Amino acid sequence: MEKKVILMVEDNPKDEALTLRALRKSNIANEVVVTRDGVEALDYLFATGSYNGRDLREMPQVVLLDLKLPKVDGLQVLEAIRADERTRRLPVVIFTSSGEEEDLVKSYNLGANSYVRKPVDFEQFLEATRQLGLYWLVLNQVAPNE
Amino acid sequence: MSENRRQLGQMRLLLERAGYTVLTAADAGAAFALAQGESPDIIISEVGAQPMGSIDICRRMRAHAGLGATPILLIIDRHHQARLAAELQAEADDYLEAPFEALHLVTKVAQLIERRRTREAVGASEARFHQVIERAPNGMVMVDSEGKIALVNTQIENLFGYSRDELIGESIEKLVPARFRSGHTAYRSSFLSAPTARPMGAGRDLYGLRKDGSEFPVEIGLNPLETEQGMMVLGTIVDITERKRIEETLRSSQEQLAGIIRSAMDAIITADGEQRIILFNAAAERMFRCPASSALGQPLDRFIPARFRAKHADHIRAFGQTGTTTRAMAGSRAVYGLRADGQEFPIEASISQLESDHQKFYTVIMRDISERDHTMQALRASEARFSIAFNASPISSVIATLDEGRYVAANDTFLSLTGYSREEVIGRTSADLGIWPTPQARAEAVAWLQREGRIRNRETRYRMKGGELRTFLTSAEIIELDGKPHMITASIDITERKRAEEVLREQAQMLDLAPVLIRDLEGHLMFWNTGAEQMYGWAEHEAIAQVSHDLLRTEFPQPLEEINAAVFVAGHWEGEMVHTRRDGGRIVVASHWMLHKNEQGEPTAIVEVNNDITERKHIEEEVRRLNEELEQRVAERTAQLQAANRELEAFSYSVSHDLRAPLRHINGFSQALLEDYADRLDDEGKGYLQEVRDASREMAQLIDDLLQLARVTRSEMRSETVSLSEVAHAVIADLRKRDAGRNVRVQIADGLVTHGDKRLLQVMLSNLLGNAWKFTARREQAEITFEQTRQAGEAVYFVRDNGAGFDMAYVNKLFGAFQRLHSGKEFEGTGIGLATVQRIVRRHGGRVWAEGQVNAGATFYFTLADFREHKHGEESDLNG
Repeated sequence: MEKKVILMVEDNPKDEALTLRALRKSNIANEVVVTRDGVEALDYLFATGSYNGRDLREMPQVVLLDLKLPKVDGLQVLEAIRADERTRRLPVVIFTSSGEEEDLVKSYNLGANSYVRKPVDFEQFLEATRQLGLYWLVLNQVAPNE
Repeated sequence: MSENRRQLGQMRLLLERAGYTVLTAADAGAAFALAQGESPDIIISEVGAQPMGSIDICRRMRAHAGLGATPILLIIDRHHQARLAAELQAEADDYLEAPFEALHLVTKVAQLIERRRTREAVGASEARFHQVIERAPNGMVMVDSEGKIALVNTQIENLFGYSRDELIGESIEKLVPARFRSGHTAYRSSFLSAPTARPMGAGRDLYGLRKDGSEFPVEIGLNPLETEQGMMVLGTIVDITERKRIEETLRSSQEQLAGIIRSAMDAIITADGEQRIILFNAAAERMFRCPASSALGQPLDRFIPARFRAKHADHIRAFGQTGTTTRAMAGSRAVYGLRADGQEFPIEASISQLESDHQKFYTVIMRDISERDHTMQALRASEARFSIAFNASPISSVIATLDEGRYVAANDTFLSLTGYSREEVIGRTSADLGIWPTPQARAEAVAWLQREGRIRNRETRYRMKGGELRTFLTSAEIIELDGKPHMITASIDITERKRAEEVLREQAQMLDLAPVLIRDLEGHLMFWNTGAEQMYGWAEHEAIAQVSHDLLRTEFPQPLEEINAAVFVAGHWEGEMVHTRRDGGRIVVASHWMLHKNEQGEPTAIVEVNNDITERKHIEEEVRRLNEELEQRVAERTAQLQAANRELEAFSYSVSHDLRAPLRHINGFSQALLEDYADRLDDEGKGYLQEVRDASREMAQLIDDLLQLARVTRSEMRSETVSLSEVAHAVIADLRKRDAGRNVRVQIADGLVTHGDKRLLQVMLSNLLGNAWKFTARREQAEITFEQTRQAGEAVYFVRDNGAGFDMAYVNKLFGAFQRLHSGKEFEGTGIGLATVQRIVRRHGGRVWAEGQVNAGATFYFTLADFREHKHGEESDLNG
């Protein structure tokens, strides 16, 4: 079985680089699709815009969603995912710099599966990424797509 | 007189022989002159050739005062003058026809002289009769057989008010009251049928009728009189008005006396000189249990016990010989009576004597005092009771002599009220103590008491021992003690009530200042008080009869019909309206209308009480305006604050989100450099990169701490029960996990529970315990304690460690943000933790302070007000 992709929604290229590095160092071999704002993320998920024609049957194993995004922000993206029948069971992990309680509460209220604050220390960042990969890519059973 | 000398001589001879003295005259002129001078007993005149001469002389003599009564005998010639006889007879007393017998002449002369004498005698008698009647002290009236009044005297005129002329010839019934008239007429005729002198109407009251219609009682005596005019009745009438009155008075006073004797409570017995009972009244019957019929005529000593009888008779006789009319019997000794049934009983008696028609009478008045003995005992008991009641009475009571106010008794209430002791009062006068505010005050009260017999609830002021004047309601009576009049006084202290009344009165006066107007149902003003005058400016006479709403140009808050409807239904109405004063000023009034009804319950008028609230309305308006301004300002401020808060939140968000990202990148890429290019860096280079990574980590911590501090300040607080012990255990557990190599002995007291925001309290304790953990890092045996103590009744928590401590000189820098007492080399930290602790404690209404010593540990104390939900509520209110 071909490994499913990881959808990363991240506008900051440095964070993108560090996250990809961390994933690589955690021996996660899944393809990572990077979208740089909310609109692009939703285009990918619903095969619209620049992703027009993408096979909608192929859904990511997990979505790593930053909150602070240009155009459409992370919470709106989450809301859109949960509002659509095709994506509403998609595992979404909020992966953000914010430690604000408000963000945390809102995210879970909108149906986030997990909320991980990006640690400043890279060793911790690496550990977090590793555990994320282990859990969401290996241990977690995804709901069947009918 | 005769013209015929021979005949004249012949008659003279005849008459002289018969013993008469005869004077002769030859003609009429001589005869008249002679008659005037001699006043003869009879005049004999021959009617001569000129018969008219004889008639003339008759007439002249008749007209003459002195001769009018002298009888005249005419001698007429039988043959020539018979026809003149009738005419002559009318003028003269008698006539004789010549020739006549000598004897005939003498007889005729004697008859005539005798008749004249008789007539004169009768005339004198009648005159005397009239005089007697006139001078009689009683009214006298003579009535003829037909009942016509023939004669009345002056007394009758006076009695009946008629003049003589009004009565003579009138019926006697004119003087009789109408109701008796018919009876009187019948009586009159029956009297005449058997006329005897007697009093009229024996046994009946008779009344006279005066001209003015009034009646008066009379007594009448009747005397029949045989007169020339026939049977007459002479009535004697006496006015007995006065006598009746006296009789009436006498009768009633006799009745009174008899009544008194009859009904007297005291037994009254009168005895004659032989001491035989002649009067025995009803009380005596009761007292001696003997009917009067059995007592009368009996000796007086029958009612005296046998052993006293002899002495008693002596006493009475001895009394009879003194001039004394009345005295008490036996002096102070007891006297005893003896009842018909043989029982003896004590009496009190007085005796009086009266001499009448040389007869002595003794009257004894007695009173049974056996009851009184009982009464005296009862009185003594009652006095004892009175004494107790007097002393125990809660009403201030005193007894003092009436004349000078010398106290003979004063009860406990009086003493405690006035402040005097009994010794200070008894025997001294009210003037000595100065009880009355002025001597006049007492004099007035005493005068009142003597006049009215008692005083009831008279408001009086008395001076207390301390000088204070207090007001009392006083009642007083006069009582007799040891034969002297005393004043017993009971007084209730109403000083406080008076003060309350004073306040009420003041309030009433203030009320009087409230403008009051009364108008009839058409709105015409009927009443306009001083308050209204002052408020509106119109005087009473200007306002009365004006239509109220026109005068005041009333601006109603609702249609007048609605207000009137409300007044007529509910009886009153309250509201605000605008009036215009006389000077044109408009005022807002709080108006209270009350419907006035008459006794039949019909509405008659409306009473309106108006208060000028213009000023109040201005103030209210001002307050309202200020409030609005304030609210607006608060709203503006709140909006500004909310904006500031939002900005702060946005800022915090940026800080937490955006500031951390570069640090993460610095750290991440430094790590990447170390990993990927380790072979191209020497140890020093690797060391520098490590410093870069540490710095980024420190900065991240700093940012987190700052965020926390900000959050502590602005976050909303939630109150719940928080176990500080549990929180502390959790914090320590976390620290042990993070720093597993440390050997720290931690002691946490159980059951430290408070109310507060759990999250904030966690932050606080993790800061304090974290510090303790951190500063004991160099101790072989670190010790951390979290316990509670009490200071001045207040729960004081403290966290104590045996770590590095601090210099108390810098204690005031301890709680400032970014203040550090240790270098980062010694102990890592941002210097924000204690500032955060202080803010959390303060937000819980508590205080925090520290004690420490360098290298000897530190103790951080804090208190917490029992923070509950209401704080949260207050904050909500402010924001709302």
